[in-house]
Amino acid sequence: MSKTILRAGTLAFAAIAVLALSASAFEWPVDAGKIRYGFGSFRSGFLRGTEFGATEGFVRAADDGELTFVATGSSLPGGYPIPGGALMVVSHASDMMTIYEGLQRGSSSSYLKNVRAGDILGRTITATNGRGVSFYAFDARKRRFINPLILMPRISDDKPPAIRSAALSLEGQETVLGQTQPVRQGLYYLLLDAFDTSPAGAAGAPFELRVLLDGSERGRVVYDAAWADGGQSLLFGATGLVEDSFQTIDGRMRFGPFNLSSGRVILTVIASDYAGNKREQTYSVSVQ
Amino acid sequence: MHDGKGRRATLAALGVVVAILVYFFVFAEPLSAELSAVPRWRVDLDIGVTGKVAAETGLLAYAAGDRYGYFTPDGEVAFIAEAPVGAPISDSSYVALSAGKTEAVLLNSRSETITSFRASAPFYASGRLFSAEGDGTAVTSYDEQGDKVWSYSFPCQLGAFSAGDRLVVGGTVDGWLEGVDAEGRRVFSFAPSGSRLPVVLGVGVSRSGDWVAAVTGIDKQRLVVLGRGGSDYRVASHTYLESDFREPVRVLVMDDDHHVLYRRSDGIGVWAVDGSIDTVLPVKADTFDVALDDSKGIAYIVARRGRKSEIVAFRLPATLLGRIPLPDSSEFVRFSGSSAYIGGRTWLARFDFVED
Repeated sequence: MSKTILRAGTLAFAAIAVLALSASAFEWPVDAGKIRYGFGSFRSGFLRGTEFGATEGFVRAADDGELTFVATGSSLPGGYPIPGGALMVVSHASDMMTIYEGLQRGSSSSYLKNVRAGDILGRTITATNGRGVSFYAFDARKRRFINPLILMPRISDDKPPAIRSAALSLEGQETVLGQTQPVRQGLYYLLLDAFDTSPAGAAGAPFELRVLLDGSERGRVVYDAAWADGGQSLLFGATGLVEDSFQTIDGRMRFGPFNLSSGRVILTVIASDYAGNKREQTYSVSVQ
Repeated sequence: MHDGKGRRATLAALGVVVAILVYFFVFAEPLSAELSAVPRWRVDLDIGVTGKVAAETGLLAYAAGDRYGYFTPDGEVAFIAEAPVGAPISDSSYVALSAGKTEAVLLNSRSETITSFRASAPFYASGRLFSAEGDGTAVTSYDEQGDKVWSYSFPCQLGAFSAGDRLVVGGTVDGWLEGVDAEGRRVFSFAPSGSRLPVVLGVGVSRSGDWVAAVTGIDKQRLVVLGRGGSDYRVASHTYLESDFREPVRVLVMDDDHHVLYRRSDGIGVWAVDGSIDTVLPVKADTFDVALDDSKGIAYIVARRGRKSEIVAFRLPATLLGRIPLPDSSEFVRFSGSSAYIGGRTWLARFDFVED
């Protein structure tokens, strides 16, 4: 079973690596220094792209391609609201699509058909409250959103992610880790509040989270891809976790369940960002 | 020589006369009664509650820009309110939104609170309450009490959306159609393909949920109609189009479960679900709505193009009966039978279509 998961994970990574190579010409559509929330950040749900903060300027095509869809206004003809009031879609070679949301109304270059990398698609909006421009990279062949960090030019980052809190949850009762309080035996979920500070200074998602119990890896997620099947939102190429089972309503990450039997358990959480910076936190839990 | 020429001219003239007589007597069609629009009332709208409307009166929803409220078919205004982003509204309820918050309040048409609920971007479609979620990739359905019934995530952003009484269809910008039933289960997933670039630009679902029509693809664009066959949906008809739209395209399946209207470059296309009708109404519109008056067999289109809008009356499939240009300030138009309610931010009026 674990071999199968490992193979699936390796294949998923290989596929995304190939995609990253083929899409290596991609450029950030807005100044990368203005990234406010990255892939996987909690924005009333799992963010499938990158959200930029307030900035004056232009939104540019990430690569050569063809503009296939432009919608502006409050809603689509059937009433469905247009996210951010503007939606633009560019189809690229190698089955990639880039999707741009929240451009300034009336600024969309809807007259364009073929676009070159760097062509202006529209103007940014100033994110006074709510959202700024959002950008998505979509693998149209596999029908998956890819973490733009994998496809785009690297962003320098020397700050490791932070682990704000960790708690064990049993039947709705939470025990915050790091306190001396013992817990009784049982099947626990680990609820993590971990974040990586974005270039614009907001608390976004890390790139990788690992959970070890007594030195043995018991949970690992890589924020590489998100997709949907049968109406369910699924996360992480190697694992395919259901979004609602991973992300809590307040945006924490759920791991487990883990069976904790009596004795002392060493629980380690490792959070990494895409640049490779790591934060490791160890908790000693007394189980009675 | 002269006699021969004269005889030919006489024969030709006779031929023309005979042809005209044959046309009038053999191919005669009764003239349709003349359709005229009779004004019934006009009211100015002020913000506030009038208190004039009896509790049991059936109310109609009104929305124009940042204003919303309810009125009766007789022109009594129940209340008019204003909010920076307006309010999603139906005949039975409306949603009060707070800027930047995901908590919304559902109220009935008497402004009594039904419940508070979490919703990113609530909206009504076919009288049903939904909310757009997940960056434009998901939809949540609520019941009349504001309780969540189901949530459904689509694989990609929606470029088209339509709801019937029991079926919701989302068309994604990567070219797939997915149908969701009243319990939130996927009932079909279909990629029309057949074009160089896949995209769904417009979709319409019949109120019955038996028919789904969509305009899809780029180079070439297609109109595809799916029909329910048992538990599945299959292609019932399709045609390639001359258009090259790269923006939302209005597509409607009329309540007669037979006619499909869709935006074309040269007007509004009229298509039958089985492909037996393929014609065009010479009405250029960026977007439009349609209402069918079964009692008269007449359909009314509200066609909008830029800031201009007009009402077009026609007999199916495509016999134009008349058109009425509307004032530029007409942001609100709805039909009930042969009555049209038209309004702007500060006014509301009714007129009835009658056949003389």
